[in-house]
Amino acid sequence: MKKVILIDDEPLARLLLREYLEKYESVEVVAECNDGFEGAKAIAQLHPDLIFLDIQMPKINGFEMLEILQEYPSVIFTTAYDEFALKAFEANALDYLLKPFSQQRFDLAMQKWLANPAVSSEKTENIAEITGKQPDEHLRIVIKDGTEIRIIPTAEVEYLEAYDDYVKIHHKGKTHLKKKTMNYFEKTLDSRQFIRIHRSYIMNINELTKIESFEKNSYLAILRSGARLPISRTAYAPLKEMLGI
Amino acid sequence: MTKLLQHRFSWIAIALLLVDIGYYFLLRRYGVSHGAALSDAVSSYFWLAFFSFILQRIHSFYHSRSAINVVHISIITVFSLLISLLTQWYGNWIGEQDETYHQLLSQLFFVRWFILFLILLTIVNQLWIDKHLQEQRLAFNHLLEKERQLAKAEMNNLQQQFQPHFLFNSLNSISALVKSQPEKAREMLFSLSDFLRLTLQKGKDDFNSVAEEIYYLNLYMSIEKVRFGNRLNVEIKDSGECENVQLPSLILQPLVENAIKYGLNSKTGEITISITIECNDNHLMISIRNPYDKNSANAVNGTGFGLKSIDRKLKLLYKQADLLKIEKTDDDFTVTIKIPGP
Repeated sequence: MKKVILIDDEPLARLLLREYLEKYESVEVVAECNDGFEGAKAIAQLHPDLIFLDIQMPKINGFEMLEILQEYPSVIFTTAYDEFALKAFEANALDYLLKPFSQQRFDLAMQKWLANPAVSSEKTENIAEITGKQPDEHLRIVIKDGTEIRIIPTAEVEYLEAYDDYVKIHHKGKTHLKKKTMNYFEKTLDSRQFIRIHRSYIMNINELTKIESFEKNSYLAILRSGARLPISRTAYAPLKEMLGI
Repeated sequence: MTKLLQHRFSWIAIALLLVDIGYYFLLRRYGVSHGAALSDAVSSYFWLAFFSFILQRIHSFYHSRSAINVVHISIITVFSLLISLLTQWYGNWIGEQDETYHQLLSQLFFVRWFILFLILLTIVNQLWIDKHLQEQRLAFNHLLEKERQLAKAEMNNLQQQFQPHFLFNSLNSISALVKSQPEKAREMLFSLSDFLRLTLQKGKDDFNSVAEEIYYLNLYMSIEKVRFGNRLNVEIKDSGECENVQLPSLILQPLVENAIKYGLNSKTGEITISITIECNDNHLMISIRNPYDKNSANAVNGTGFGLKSIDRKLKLLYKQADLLKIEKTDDDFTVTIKIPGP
């Protein structure tokens, strides 16, 4: 028996999926979820083989939910209209259903998956790359701390620090790790608020209280929290420009 | 633009120079010595250029409604008199040995003044026309820009009403209902059709009565209620007194859509959207309240594009700021719009 989870914030959309799934006897719907949080939880508990995932959902969107998963089931995306996502799907050859879709179109997606479930699961892992292209995503960062899922509004982030393969996110006196690169954050964060001041640091400009000179030609950024971050020589000019000095 | 002005100005300078050279030869014909004619020509050219420059500076700051007016004439009169006096004084000083020149100077004082007056008048005219054209072009560009923004706002408006996301999700819901609850599917299809038809129709009008807006809103909400099932409740507190008051068309629906979106997105479980409509002699007040969870990141981003564009629309229509107010408490998000009376 293959396990399937339906994740969509509209009950009727889930009802339709259930109806279309009726004829697949080897497939069982083990859970229905209303948003990404519930979805992530259910996936961790029930280890489904396949999920149907909507993109625009409450709290965190479908991509963000995938980002915090430990294990990746196969995914068939269902979406009404999402220009950004469509481009990403096509680039990654992921299967998606455009609402409203027919039983025939649905069957096609199911047959593709049934024929080769493992391949789709691999593709899902690549989806993390897509997420930065979602328009609402530079507004928040989703983090998994052990079993807890945290959403940090990017405006509240103090600074980001490179940490091996991770990026350390400093937020309200705490740090969180996220498996992304500094370049990723430099590209996706709002450039009016965040600036890369060093190979290893991206700073929230609103947290800056003063710039201290330190030795010859080198500077330190002092943040509201008292943190002292080095400013690289090449970053000093763009920083001054951003501050209008 | 300044480049062009400078360009024009250099043409004026060249034309004056040619006149001045002619003037030199004229003096020579009257038997004035080479030295006296040259210095007279050079000094008058210098002063003329100097005062023309001043005129140009004046014109870059100030623009009168007509080219010839009292201010212009008096400035030109004074300037041409000054140039005449200055050249006269200079001529007397250098032309002591040249009797012919000396005589000419005093004889021709008024003629010179008059000619200089005409020259300066021509220059002022030219400058005025330049400035006038420049201002016209600016006004025209301004108008174009305004038109472009209006067209853009209209487009945004349409797009907002016709959110493809809303449309396709509604169609999907209908598709789901067809088998299990065909009656309900049909009902929703009608609501959706009516809603779209009204959107097309009302999108063209500028104003609507409160009653019409509420009818439209109810259509929209009946669709959303089917989509979100039990999760969505809407209550309208309306005394009915304001039914005939006019307000900008299709302004309520996007506000409610916003409230539904952020209410549903930030909270799991059931939510209630409350709409209150009140009016007095001076204005109409409509507030829309939705619950939200301040800890949810979606709630933080609640003041999105939709609200901003409505605020802008109100500002454009009523030329008044602060017609849209946002209040946040720990668990409520309220948007209030104030529509000034006629």
